[in-house]
Amino acid sequence: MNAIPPDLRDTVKKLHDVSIGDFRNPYAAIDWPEKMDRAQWFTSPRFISLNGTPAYEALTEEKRKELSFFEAVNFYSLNIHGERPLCKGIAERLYRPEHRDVSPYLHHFLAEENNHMIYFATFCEKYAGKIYPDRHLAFPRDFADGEEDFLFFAHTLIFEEIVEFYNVKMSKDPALEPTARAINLLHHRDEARHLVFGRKLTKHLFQAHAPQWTQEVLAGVRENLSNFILSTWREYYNPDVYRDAGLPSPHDLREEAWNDPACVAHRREVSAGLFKYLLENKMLEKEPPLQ
Amino acid sequence: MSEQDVKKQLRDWVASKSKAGKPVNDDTPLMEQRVITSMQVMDLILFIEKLSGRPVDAGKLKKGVFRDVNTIYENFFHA
Ligand SMILES: [Fe+2]
Ligand SMILES: [Fe+2]
Repeated sequence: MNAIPPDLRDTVKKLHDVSIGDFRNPYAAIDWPEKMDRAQWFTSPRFISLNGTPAYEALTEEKRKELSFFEAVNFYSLNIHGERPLCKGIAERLYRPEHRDVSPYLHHFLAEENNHMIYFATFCEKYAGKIYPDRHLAFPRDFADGEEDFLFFAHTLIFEEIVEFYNVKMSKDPALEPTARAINLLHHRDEARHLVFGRKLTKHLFQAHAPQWTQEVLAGVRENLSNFILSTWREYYNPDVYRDAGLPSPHDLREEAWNDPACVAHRREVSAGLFKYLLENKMLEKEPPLQ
Repeated sequence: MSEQDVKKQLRDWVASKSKAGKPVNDDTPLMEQRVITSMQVMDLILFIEKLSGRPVDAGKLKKGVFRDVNTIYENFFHA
């Protein structure tokens, strides 16, 4: 199954050309202020993870802005923690026979993800003095033919679809602090291409491999995707953020926000496009729970 | 918190997350029997941090530290 469908081949060619024209020096892309005034919005208020909860309602605007800073540090940190294994996975797949035809684009993917980590890490280190820790742990296991490859690109797609929702909205929010806005915009420019590629490649891999999987493997893959979506969302609620913003009982706050109907509705809104794609392509049979 | 209290809290937490709904003892293999999945480890780490009041460095964790409730207690709560 080394041949890729013609439309994926065309996509790779187009994305490769566009990426060359949009290639940038990550060190010159952003003007980093020497000092950062934290009394600004770094995350659009409606995207602050606690928004909608009684705890958030009780905060002053000053406190909400402070919280928006640490929310941004969390958003950038979780991007870094997603992009590190992503780079590793792409590097491992470069020029494997089954990925030879998409390798010209994988080079862009890899280079761009490395650039993203530079933007995200520079902000975190320069203005917060830290990146929030990664709490991921993967256990080695066995896979059916094509299963690991499919899951790698499907996880990447899930992660990027959710991030992209925020990037698009926040790159256009005039109330956002300019550096934060620039990071969201630069990320969005590359990610828009990653998503076009990811949607096509993930679909191709599923169509090529799923018919050979047993019912048990297929059910396991679907359960894995549901679990991954849930755990990706869980990371958006980080007690370290609430603690740094000076809020009491950060762990309880996390559970309150997670269970708050307004927050559940928000997760559903952000996930809608992703769910549509996964359901239409039979990668999922039903909408996964978001709670 | 006493050892018994910590272990009970851990058992209750695992039972509440487990889809299988099987009873959880202090020596029930958590990962091996997929009582909890690798994707729930982040939540488990956060719960351990909450209970112990100390941060966990996930990058330095050795294999098997989450094998069962007894092992978790030994690794994260035993002074
Ligand atoms: Fe990225
Ligand atoms: Fe990306």
